[in-house]
Amino acid sequence: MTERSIISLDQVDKVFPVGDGKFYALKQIDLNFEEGEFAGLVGPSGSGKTTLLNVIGALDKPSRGRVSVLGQDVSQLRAKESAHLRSEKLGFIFQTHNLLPVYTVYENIELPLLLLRTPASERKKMIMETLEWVGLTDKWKSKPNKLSGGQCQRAAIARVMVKRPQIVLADEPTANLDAENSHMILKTMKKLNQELKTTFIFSTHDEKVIQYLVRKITLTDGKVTQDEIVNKLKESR
Amino acid sequence: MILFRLAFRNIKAAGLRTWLNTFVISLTFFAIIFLQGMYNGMYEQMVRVRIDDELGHGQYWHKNYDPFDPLTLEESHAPLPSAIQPYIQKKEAVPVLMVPAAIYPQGRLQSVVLKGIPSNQTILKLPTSEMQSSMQEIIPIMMGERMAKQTDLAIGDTVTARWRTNDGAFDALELELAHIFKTDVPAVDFGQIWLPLEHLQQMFDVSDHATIIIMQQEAGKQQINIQWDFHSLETLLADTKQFVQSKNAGGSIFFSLLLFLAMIAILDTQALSIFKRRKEIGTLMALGMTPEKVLGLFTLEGVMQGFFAAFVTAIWGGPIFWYMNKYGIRFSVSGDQYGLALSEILYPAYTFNLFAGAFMFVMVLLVIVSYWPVRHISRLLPSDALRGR
Repeated sequence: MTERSIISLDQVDKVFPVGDGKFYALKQIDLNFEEGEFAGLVGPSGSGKTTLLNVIGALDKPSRGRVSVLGQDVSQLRAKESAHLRSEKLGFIFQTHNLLPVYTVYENIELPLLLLRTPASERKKMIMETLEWVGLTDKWKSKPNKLSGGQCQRAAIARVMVKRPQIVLADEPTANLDAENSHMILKTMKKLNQELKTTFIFSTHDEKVIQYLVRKITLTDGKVTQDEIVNKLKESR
Repeated sequence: MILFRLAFRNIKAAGLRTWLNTFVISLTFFAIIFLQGMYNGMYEQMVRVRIDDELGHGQYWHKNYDPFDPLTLEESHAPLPSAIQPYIQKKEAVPVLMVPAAIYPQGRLQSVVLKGIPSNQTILKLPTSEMQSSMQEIIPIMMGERMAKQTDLAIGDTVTARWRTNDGAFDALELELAHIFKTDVPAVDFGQIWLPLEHLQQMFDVSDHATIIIMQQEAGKQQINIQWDFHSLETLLADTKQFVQSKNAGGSIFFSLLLFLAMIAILDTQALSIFKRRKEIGTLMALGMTPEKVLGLFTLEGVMQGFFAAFVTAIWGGPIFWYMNKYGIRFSVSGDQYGLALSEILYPAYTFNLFAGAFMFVMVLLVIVSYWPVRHISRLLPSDALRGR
C-alpha cells in the first residue's frame, strides 16, 4: 500500500459455496488504487470482476484478506458503517441502469442526496447541474420507461455523480449500449474524472471501454494476471 | 422523513395494488366500527330503557324475593323499613308490591303478577299517573301493549282478577284497564298488571308492605342500612351486559374474517414485493441505505396503506355512520320478540374511543404483517439483493 492509495487490497480471497465444494471467485488479490485513477478490471465472464468491485464497494465482504477503502477496513465494517461509506464516498454504476422505475429521472437523482440529508434548496441546484453534465436537462420529469438505454445509463451516472463521490465503481456500464451511446457515456465519465478528480474503476470486457482506460488490470479465474498502465496520454483525452 | 417520502411515492406508484389493499382494509375498518357501534348502541339503548322503565338506579329486594321464581312472591313482602321512608317521601325511592294472581280475560284463565306502585311516582318513566278509574268502586290498572294484545283487552275494559290474600283466603275483584303503555322492556309488560300501590295493599290485606324498593339516581349510589338485599345498577344490568358481550363475540367472527382477508392482502403484497423488488432493495443499499432503513421503508409502506385506508373509510364511511347515528337502523323484527329490551329502531353509538380503538387495532396488525415478510432484509447482503437472491 502506497501513501497515495485510497483503495488497497491485501491477499484478498472470496469464496462461494457451490454444492459440497467451494468456488474461489477471487484468489490472493493484491491491488492498490490512487486518487483520480481511471482503471479497468478486464477479463472474461466469471473471472471475478464484479465480485472484486462488490468487495471494494462494501457490497460484499471478503472471505479472507484485508480491503481498505479510504482508510476503512471494509471487512470489519458493520452493515450500518458500510452503508454510510457507500452513501458518502462511493458511487455505483450497474450494467443495467438500476433506476427505480416508479421515480422520475429527477427523483432518482435526488435519492442519494436525500440519504445524505442535503437541504432541499441545495439539492435542486446540484441535480440540475448534474443533469446538465450528462445532457438530460430536458428529461428530468421522465420516468425510466420513457428513456432510451443510453439516456437511462446517463441518468444512472447522474445519480452517482450528483453526490460527488470520491470513488465510482462501474460494473460493465456499456454492456447494454450501442457504440454511439457507449462513447458518449465514457466521454462523460472521463470528463468527470478529469474535472472532479473522481477515481473510476470499471469492470469490463468491452473493447470500447478498454480504449479509454489509463490502467488495465486483467483478471483470470479470480487472479490478477496483468496490471499495466495502458497509455498515460489517454489521461488528457 | 426520507422514508415517508419514499414510501409515499412507492404506494402512489403501485396503483391498482394500492387501491385493492386500501379497499379491503377500508372495508375492515368499516365492518369493525359498524358492528362495534351497533353493539354499543344496543347496550346503551337496553340500559337506558331498563333504567327508565324497570330498574331505576338500584333496588332493595325483600330477602325472599327471587325474580325467577314467581312462587316466592307470596312470601316476599314486608313492611317498608323506617330508614327508607324519608327517601320515599322525597320521591327518591319507590316501593313496589308484587302479588301473584289470575285474571280471566275473555273467559280464559291467565296467571299474572299484580304490581302495585304509587301512581304519583316519578322514578320510573312508566305512565303510572294514568291509572285513574272512571268508576269509584273499580280499581284502575294499566298494562303494556304486548300484554293488552295477549289478553285482548282495550282501554275501558274490565277484567276479573283472583288472588290469595295475606291470610290465605281467595278474593276476587273487577279491574278496569285505564291505560295501555308502550315500552321496550318486555319484563315490565308480559304477564304484568300495574295498579296503584295502596289498592294492591288493601286487596292483599297488608299495610305499607312492598316486595322491592326502586331507588332514584343519587339515592341508588349509597347503601342504606336496612335488612333488605341491595342490588346495585351494575348487578341488575349484568345480564344485559353479558348478552351484548356474547353478541359482540359472535359479531367479531365476521370482522375477524374480514381482517384476516385484509392482512392476507398486505402480507401477499409484501411477500410479492420482496421478490419483485429485490433489485430495488440492492440498489437502495448500494446507494447507501442501511438494511434497517430498507426494512423500515417496506414496513412503512404497509402502514401507510392503513392510514390511507382509514382516510378513505372516513370519506365514504363517515356519512354512513353519521346517518345511522342520527336516524338509526330499522329492523323488521323487534328485539322484544326474543325477550330483549330493544326497539325496532336501533341507534348505533359511535364514540371517539371506538374509532381510535379500531384504528389502533388494525394498525398494530398492519405493522406486524408488513414487517413479518420483510424482516430478513436486515440480514441481506447488498450484493445478494442485487443478484436477486
